[in-house]
Amino acid sequence: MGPAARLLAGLALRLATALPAVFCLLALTFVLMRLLPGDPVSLMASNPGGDAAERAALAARLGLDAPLAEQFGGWLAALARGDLGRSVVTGQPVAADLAARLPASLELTLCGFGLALAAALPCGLWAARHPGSAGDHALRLLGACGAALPGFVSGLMLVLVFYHGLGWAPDPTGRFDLFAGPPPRVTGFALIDTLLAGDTAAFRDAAARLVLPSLTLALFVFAPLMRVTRGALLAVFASDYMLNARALGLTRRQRLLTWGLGNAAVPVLMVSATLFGALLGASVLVETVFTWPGVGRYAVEALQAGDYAAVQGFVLLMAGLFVLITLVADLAALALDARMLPA
Amino acid sequence: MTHPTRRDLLLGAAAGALAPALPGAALARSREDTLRYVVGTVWNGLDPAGFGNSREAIGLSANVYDRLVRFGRKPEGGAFTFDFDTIEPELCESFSRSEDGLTLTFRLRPDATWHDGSPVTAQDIKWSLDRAVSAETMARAQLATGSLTDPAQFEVTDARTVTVRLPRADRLALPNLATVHAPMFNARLARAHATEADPWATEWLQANTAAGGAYRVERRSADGQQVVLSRFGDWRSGPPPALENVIVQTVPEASTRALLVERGDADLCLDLMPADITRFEREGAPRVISAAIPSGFTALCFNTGLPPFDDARVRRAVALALPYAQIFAQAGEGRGEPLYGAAAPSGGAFPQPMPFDTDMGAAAALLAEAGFADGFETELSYGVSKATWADPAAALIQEALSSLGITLRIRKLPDAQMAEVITAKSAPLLLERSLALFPSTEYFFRIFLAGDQRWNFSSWRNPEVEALLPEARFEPDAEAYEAIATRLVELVAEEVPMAPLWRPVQDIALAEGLEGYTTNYFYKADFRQLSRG
Repeated sequence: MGPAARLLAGLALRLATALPAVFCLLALTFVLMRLLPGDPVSLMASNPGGDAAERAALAARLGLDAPLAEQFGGWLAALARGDLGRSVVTGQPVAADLAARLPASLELTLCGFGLALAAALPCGLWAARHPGSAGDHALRLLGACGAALPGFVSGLMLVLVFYHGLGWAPDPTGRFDLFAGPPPRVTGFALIDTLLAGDTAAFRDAAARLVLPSLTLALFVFAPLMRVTRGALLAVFASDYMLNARALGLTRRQRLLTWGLGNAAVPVLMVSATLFGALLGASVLVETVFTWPGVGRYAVEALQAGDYAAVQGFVLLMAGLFVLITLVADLAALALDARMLPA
Repeated sequence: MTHPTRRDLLLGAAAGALAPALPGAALARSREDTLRYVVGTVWNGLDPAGFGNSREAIGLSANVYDRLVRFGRKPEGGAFTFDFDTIEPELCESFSRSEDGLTLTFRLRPDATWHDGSPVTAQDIKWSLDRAVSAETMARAQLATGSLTDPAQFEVTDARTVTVRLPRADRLALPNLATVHAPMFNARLARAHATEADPWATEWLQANTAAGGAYRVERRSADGQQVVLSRFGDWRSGPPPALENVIVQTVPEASTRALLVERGDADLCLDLMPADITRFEREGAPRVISAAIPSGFTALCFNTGLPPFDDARVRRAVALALPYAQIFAQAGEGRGEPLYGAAAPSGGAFPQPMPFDTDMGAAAALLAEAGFADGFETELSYGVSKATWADPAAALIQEALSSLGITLRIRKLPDAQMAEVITAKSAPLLLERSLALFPSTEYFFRIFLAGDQRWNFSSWRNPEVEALLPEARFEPDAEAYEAIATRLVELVAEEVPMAPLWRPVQDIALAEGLEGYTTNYFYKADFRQLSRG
């Protein structure tokens, strides 16, 4: 088999193994949601009556009166038609809810992650070049502080200083200026849609609103990214091939650019993929502080209200995204290092 | 499925067409004419009584839909509060009640129109009332509390007159018609979206409006976090609202809401943390109004159906062991009115201060008399959403009861689970806060202290109470009603189904110069009478 065929076969295998995993995850979520204590029907039936007959009618309306297997079968059949069910919290179809919120989460995570990468890579490189120096220790301390502060604490502190204290930042209430209204929705990404609408003022506003939440996220992932960059580079610097290159008389810049960065990039890429996926779903607290209409907060609200369809939809979305992200990371790693081609 | 309505498409197209020509400005609105209202929860449907709709959604609908009648208002502490005893015409021009109290007659305004410009007809009113008692919404059970149950009760007598016939002279029939549970719909518009499976258009009305109230829904974001209301110029059911636009925005983090109000970026907020409210009061800005909630209560509820609390002596012993003053000061931040420490119950209003106060000696004696001299083990449950006040209250109760030998485990439950526990009536002790829709003693007892429904937190089935309630409900004479209510209150003092702690207040933070705030029976913002002074 040639490398291209091997690559395709590897990809197919990867997707095939992901499917059962996703299915198991969905089945587990489905059962767990219903096993967990908490009854959405009791929560919804807030009438003065709230009696058994009303609850039974509500359960029937929500399709919760059928046996579990039947419910799961029904949900899978609907899923095959692209129907994720309807959320009891928002009253909207889950697919529409997720589609409305995913771009906000993606945009925030991309910006936060980009910011973290832009800071962590040079810092990691510098620290690897000067291991054990005072600067190395200072960077480590900074990273530890950022990672140790929960997102909502650093977020609230940033809001206090830059919005309430200095008045530099716009109010932390979402992605658009409330009084101007959102731009016509094309992609759902604030930065792109405002540009497409040709509205530079709205673009600047949307960008300004992204700064603090992105910074909060970046603070959180800066430390692991910098540490892994530093570690990977140190390992590369200590490797035999780098020693060989040095013996051949190549300059430090040549050694770094030719062999160093490419080899060190693979572990950084792998960690980045995992961190990015985790950030996407886990930035709930940051989304809460900045009133960011993202998927993470949607899932937590749904979980609290026992909103089964919404939680299942969220899990499915996250599973799909994880599969996709790891796939992309694998392909990128392959481009960097041909030895990773599946056998 | 949500299909964009024609109006959405037109608005979207208009916005798209204007945006390049007038960047930003086309849709920008003046800050002066606009109220920005920040809330903690999402609104999740436009039907005033849709199942599962949040209280926020219900409150919002009160500004969008009219009812036949409304409660009047009276001044209270620099603002206004609703007056349960005064009912005024809203969508109707006048109304009357027959001598025997069995017939209510509503005469419609000649000039009233719906948002789409079509006139309000008696047929619309009939359809709306039929829907309220027939469709699968929260309205059906609510209106039944006022003897409104059957479409046959509603009759169109002429083009502008509708009569409502009651099987008995129910005191709460008219108040029920003044609530958000009896909204008036543009029947022709709503009917056009009814289907065979959904004859009352419940699906369509969750995502669309067929209304004629003071404000119309101009825009709402897909995620349920922002709603823009604009004034309906042809509204005739009351004095024209002063504010042109209202932007309702969900801001989930309470401290962010406080910052917004403090900086003047938001004009109104009803759900702030007590710590922020006390800070605002100390600093003198933003302005804070504390509105009384006459039908509200915070209480320790005993499950009278489960041992050991099936014994009234044990309930009284615990009620005498609570550190009331400390609980009110720490858990309630001293805001509101104590519901303890009275010498004896007085009059028929409820909740009112009960004759329970801290008396450890008496508590220990009662406990010994009931056969629990060495105490017992039990658990206290409450929902996570009540943690702000319930955490300190539970800790204080736990400590106080331990000196009687009672070991209290504290169970803080997610709200969905709490709802399940309450419905199953499986928890021996609950910390609860709630309010009755109407400040009426008979209604309060019917909801919270009788029957087998969820809200009877104490599972209290006192035969005398259950016999007195129907009498009170249909008692036309005010004095006789008061006598029954007084007896009901005495029974709580004797039997102790709950130990009321304090009556909460609603703290409202509002921008400087915002006048006319009216606390309504649903304790959410009513924008119609607000103005900038």
